[in-house]
Amino acid sequence: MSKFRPLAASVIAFGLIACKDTLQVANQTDPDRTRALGRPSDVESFIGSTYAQIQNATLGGSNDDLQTQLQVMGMENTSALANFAMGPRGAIPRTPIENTRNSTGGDGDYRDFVVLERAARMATIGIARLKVLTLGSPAQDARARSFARFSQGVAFGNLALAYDSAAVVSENDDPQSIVPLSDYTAVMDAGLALLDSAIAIARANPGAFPLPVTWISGQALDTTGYFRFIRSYKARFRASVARTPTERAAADWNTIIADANAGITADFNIAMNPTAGWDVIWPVQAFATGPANWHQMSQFWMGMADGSGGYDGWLATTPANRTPFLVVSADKRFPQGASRNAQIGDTLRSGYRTFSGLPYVRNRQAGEDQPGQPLQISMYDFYRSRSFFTAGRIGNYPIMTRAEIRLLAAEGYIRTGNFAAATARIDSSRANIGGLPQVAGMADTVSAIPGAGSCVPRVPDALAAAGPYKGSKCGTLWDALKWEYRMETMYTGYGMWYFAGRGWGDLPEGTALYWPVPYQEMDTRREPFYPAGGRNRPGGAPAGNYGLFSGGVY
Amino acid sequence: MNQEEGGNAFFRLTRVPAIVNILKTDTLGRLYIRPNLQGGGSQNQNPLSTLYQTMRQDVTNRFIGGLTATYSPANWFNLEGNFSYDLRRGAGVQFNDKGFRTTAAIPTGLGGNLGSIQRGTANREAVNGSVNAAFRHDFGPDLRSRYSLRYLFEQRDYDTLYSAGSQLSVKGVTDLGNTLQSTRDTRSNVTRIRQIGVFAGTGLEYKERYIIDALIRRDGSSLFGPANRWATFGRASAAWRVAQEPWWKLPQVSELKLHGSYGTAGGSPRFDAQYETFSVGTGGILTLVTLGNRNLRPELHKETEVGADLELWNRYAVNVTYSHALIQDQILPVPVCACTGFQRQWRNAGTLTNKTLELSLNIPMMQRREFQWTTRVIYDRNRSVITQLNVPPFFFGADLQATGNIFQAKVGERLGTFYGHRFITNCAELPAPFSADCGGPTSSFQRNDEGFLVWVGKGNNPKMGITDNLWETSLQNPGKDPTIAPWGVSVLNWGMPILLRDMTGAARNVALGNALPDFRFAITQDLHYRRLSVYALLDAAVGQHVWNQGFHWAHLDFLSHDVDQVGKSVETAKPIGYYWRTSPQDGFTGLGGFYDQLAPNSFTVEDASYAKLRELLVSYHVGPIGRTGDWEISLVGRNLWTITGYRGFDPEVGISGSTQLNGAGSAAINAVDAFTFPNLRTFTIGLSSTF
Repeated sequence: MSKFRPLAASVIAFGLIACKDTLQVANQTDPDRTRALGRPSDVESFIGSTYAQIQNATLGGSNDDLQTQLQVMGMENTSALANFAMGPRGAIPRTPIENTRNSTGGDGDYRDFVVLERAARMATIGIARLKVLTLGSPAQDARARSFARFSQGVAFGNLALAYDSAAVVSENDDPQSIVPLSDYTAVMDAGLALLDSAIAIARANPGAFPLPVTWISGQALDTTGYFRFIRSYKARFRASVARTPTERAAADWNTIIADANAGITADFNIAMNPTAGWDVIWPVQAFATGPANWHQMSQFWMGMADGSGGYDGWLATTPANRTPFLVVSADKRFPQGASRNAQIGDTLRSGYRTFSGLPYVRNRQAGEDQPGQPLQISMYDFYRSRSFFTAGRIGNYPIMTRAEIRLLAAEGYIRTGNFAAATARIDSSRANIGGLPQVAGMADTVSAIPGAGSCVPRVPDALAAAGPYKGSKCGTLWDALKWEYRMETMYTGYGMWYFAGRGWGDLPEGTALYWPVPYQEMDTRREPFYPAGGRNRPGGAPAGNYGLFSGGVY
Repeated sequence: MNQEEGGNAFFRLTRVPAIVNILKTDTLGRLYIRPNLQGGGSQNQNPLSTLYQTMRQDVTNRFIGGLTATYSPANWFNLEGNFSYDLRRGAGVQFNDKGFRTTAAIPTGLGGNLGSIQRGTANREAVNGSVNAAFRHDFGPDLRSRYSLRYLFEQRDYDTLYSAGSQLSVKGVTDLGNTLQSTRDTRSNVTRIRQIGVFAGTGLEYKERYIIDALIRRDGSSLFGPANRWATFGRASAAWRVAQEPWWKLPQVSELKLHGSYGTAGGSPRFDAQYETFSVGTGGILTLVTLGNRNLRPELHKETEVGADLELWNRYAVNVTYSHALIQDQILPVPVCACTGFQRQWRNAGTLTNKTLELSLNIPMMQRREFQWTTRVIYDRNRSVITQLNVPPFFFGADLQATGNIFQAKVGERLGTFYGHRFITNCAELPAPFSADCGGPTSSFQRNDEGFLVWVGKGNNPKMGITDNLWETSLQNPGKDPTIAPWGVSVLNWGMPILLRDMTGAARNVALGNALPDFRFAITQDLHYRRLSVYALLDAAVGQHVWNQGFHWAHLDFLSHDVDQVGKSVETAKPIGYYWRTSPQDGFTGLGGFYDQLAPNSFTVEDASYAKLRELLVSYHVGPIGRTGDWEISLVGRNLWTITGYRGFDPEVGISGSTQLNGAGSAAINAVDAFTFPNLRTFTIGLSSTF
């Protein structure tokens, strides 16, 4: 037996030695918090990446997201395809956002919610780390803290625009706990307060500015540019959070005017490069797999530029029988010409296919037309981003335009009675770019805009001789403002037509006025799901302006 | 044919209209790129053209080695050490040269299609070492015992590397540096798994009739959370050879063995389940992904098995086994509150119950000195049901398009059940009062020649579509009044199939079938005549369903044969809208046809039962040649013949992997026919010898 003792002992010893720490294996593929935030430079980079998360949530990352739905629900785009819920969300009459397990659009509904909340949480993680280490100097710490608050504020602002509730996370939470949901007004208030905090922190200690050029790709913002950008966001959020015209009218327009007038003075471009994590994704589908399958401009809105009488004829046609018609317009942002071939050939103007050129839309080849919703299908595609697309989505893209901010101020001036200031801002694009007659001198919102028979925009007329909304009339100063806003902001920022249309009452009847908290999130909270939108249902828009309701223009 | 990403060629083949000759070449001798005159984009290209232009090479090297050392100092003790090593290295390259022709338009100035290069490696290295000690002791002539101790160490390493780029600068150069830098994509993955097991077992046999075995094991794994790194499992079994009892009076029954066992085992989570993980996205941007779980424990499998082995006249054998298994602490990816910033956390969150019945019958048909023929029949039936779920029910699926949510995890669900839309076929599926106005010769709702319920209007019948010009009529219900149209749908188009809906008018997702078979059986034939041997295996799976996505998708572009109305009568011919998209009720511009949306429905989920001649082996024992060796030559054919009513390429479909974190990850459950590479009929010639 003695010869077995050393053998047995060896086996046992080997086993014990092998057991100790042997089963602890590091994950070399995926980083964790300890390694990702171990060094001050890592923390700074982490905070610096939070705005990129917001870009990913809103305009980049995936077409199965809210932006694709916002575009069709705001009538900025039309497509009959089922992909990414475009068909169901853009349907006329509108259908509700069911928000049940496995319902249409569920993945897209959830995506923006979770990525925006993630961006806010990442900002709080960075701020929590700044409490235990320094990046090298108080100025550097302040810059990072300010940027984290900025990202937090923008994340909450976008959440409040789209969803009726969200979680307001902070660095004081237990990060693994379930933070209760707050109403969108509270979320927006938190977002605005954080944006103010970002300004205050940076103003108190600006020594480390400008921002690194990677934090907002291509924009090494000094404090002046940084503050302008933040104030522009504040103007956008305050105006656009409204669910109804009543809410929009009740916004603090004096503050919006002040923020807008202190906002950006030129289009805010981000240097996009998908391989660097900065992208605008919708052009991938809009220009994919055959023209007009994924994207067409809405005939209903494009027709407002027509001066040939075609819009009246189209409105007078039975809705199911409508077909696209040629928009002959004085607005230089449209292809010029009295025939389709002439308009197709209008491709030689300076800067065509870019955001600095004309026209903004193109008349596509006749063989590329695709069927769809008769109210919406047209001959026209948005084309300012074509060069951006053919460059592989590498290059500058305006995610916020000077025109948007300027026109928010214009709207504020109209609402507060300062028509001179309003018309000057409207004419900045209307006359200088569109080549349309100025509205300067108008002092009310009931008179018709100048232009007579070729006035732009023409709007469906409830008192048309042929019947309600079966003819058009020249719009008012309000319509001119809204026209400029749509022309100048389409396909730039997040839900540009939808959020504005919501507050103006221009959405088709039954359009959801907000997204419910996604069912996937409600599952994690063990709370009941709820829908939004649909005709005569909670969260559904009432009859829209311009006859956008059953029995109106359709 | 090259595999080309697992079946793109087969997908494109289904997009080709039947009248097209894909072998036809142009005046320059090139295959035509696009034989399909319809639009639809780059997906509708000639599969042969793509394969012709693609160079693909995959090389795998494998080394397997092992060493066994045995030490037997006494006849009752044996010590054995094993070491094995398995190294597999694979490398692949796929090259589309500059000038690679596709359906994309070639704008002037951009240089057209500039090609692409992909390179990848996948390496796997496994090291196993074990020490086994076995003891035997006889307590007299009737009671034998044996004891075993074992220690096992296992380590597995995986690493993969993938690089790709496009827009080649120079034609014919396969170096990745020849691609445009901004198009390059590089990814890699490294994982290591370590496992340690310590086993102790005993076996007792009394009078060769009463047999007991027991085993206890302590397992540790690097895959378990740090707080639950080790777990203990065990097994006990007993057998009674009844026919060996002295009181057994049936000599015809040469063997009757009753056996039963109970055991536990552990199931491991995936490699990254315990860790908190961020991801490094494009541009090096970090994203929070998975919340760590240091308390993650192994799945606990508890299985009870009973069975009987019966042998008659020392020839005919029947085996029956029934097992009941509980798989507790199922490891599931549970979504977490978005407020955490993370997407999910792996938790022990459910229980699966399995019941399995296996039967086998072995029949020696003929046993002569020079000719033996044995037949064996095997039957098995399995049911897996989710019996507990500690998270809210959720949908899961596979990675293929539109399959992400086709299965449901909920208590009481049989694993593998497909969900989707259903076209109604009987009047009871309509809500009141419409169910009463159904089925009669003048009812508003009647069954058409294909068995589907359709709206025809009072006094009409489904044959009147053309003769009475009814096809373009519809029941309009803009107010969505449930007393005007079933479920308050906004429109019902004449003659179109009708989806089963709920009272809000939304199409219901209902169970359409199950991906797992109701039962399987196999029949083998084993014949030996002198030096010649023949073996055949017929195996079958019955009752499973497959979503035939290829058939489904073909309806969108009217490429399916059933859209062809040639041969139909005036009474039975259908318009193409009958096969197309769903209606404005669901937000689409169709009339309510069978394509519906791209998701499973009752028209495209099919019974995929099959029987296959799985293997036919013919071998001849040659014997020594020139007094050297002992040679045998064989010819094996596999997947020779399939009997099935399934319309796709092969009813045996499914993908094993799933990048979806809550995907099934099982080829048996992911039974979706989305143009995956079908099983091939193969023939193998073998020559073997021993020296």
